[in-house]
Amino acid sequence: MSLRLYYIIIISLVFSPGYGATITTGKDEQALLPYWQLQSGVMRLRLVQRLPDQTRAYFSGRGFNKADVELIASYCFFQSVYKNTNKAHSSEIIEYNLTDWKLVYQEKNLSLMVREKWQDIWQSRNIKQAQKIAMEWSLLPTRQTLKSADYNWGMTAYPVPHGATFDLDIIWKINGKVRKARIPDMKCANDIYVPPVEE
Amino acid sequence: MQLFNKYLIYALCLLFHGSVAIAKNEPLHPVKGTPQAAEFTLLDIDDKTHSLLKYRGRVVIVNFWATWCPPCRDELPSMERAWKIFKKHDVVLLGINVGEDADTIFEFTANYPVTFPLLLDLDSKVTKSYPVIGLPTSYVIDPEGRIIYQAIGTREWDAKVLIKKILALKIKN
Repeated sequence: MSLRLYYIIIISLVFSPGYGATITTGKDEQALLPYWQLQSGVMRLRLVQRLPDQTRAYFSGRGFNKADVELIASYCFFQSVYKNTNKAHSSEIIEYNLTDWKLVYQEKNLSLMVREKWQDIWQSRNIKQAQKIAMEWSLLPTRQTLKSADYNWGMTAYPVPHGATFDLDIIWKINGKVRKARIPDMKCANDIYVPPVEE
Repeated sequence: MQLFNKYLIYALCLLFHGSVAIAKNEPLHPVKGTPQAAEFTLLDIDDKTHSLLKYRGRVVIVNFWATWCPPCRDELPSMERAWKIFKKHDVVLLGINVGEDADTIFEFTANYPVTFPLLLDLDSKVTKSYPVIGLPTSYVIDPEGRIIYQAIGTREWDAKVLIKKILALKIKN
């Protein structure tokens, strides 16, 4: 093995896990749907497509009426896992605020549909408390601080049509220092109706 | 070149050793100022009343969760294993479900059998009286009713290091 190859191995071992933002895409093993993942240092964000029918089924199961279910499903949802991947005690603290994030769709900057925006919608629709609670806790927290091994799971909602492709600008802080990254060409799932198979 | 090989092997060992050590660690984060835990009285799925005040003098772990939350489900088996250890040491473990009814949880426990109490916070008022932002979130409360540790997301609750840390609160008091 050449000396140069050794250097390459060492440099990739030491630096590849984190010092620059890495974006990967593929098929999520559990959901069997496309995902986009951003890893930067100890910060890992995975966004997995959700089919509109999954969203309909989920919120119907939480007691929403048909009109409200259709309203929710008209937005594009991703299952989102935001994690501080450091398992040992470390001083690296991640903070994020979803209201800082922007999605770029057809040259327009749009904001995510965070918990507080849904609360405003429900106020005008006379929705029951149980449904408000279900929606609130199902969404990724708008703001969070994650210490080592901490993570949150939840849905994130985007005001773009089904099948749309957009870029997502993500902002977070590590120990108060602002970091930014863009996930390009994220794709919202198409609204496909799959009829039940007749036996 | 031989010296270089030595360093390479050493570096790889360090990296490998580090990852093994990290995998065994399950951090609970100290809560600044150790605030007094908010009191609550809730029914569990068997209609039994649980009041935090009644558990004063014992270490209490409070876990906020929901059946639809995948990471909440992930940590239930390790919590159940830990519970078998904790109850021998008089440590209390309470799973507080956010916003779901007893029937939903009862059905869920057919696939996720747990024997520690599952409490119902139907209107999420108790959840909101704690600094819970997302699920699951857990707090470890000391015998004097102060919140000592917090964990956001799942933990391997039966990890030795974590059990030791929780039992140490009992010994201190």
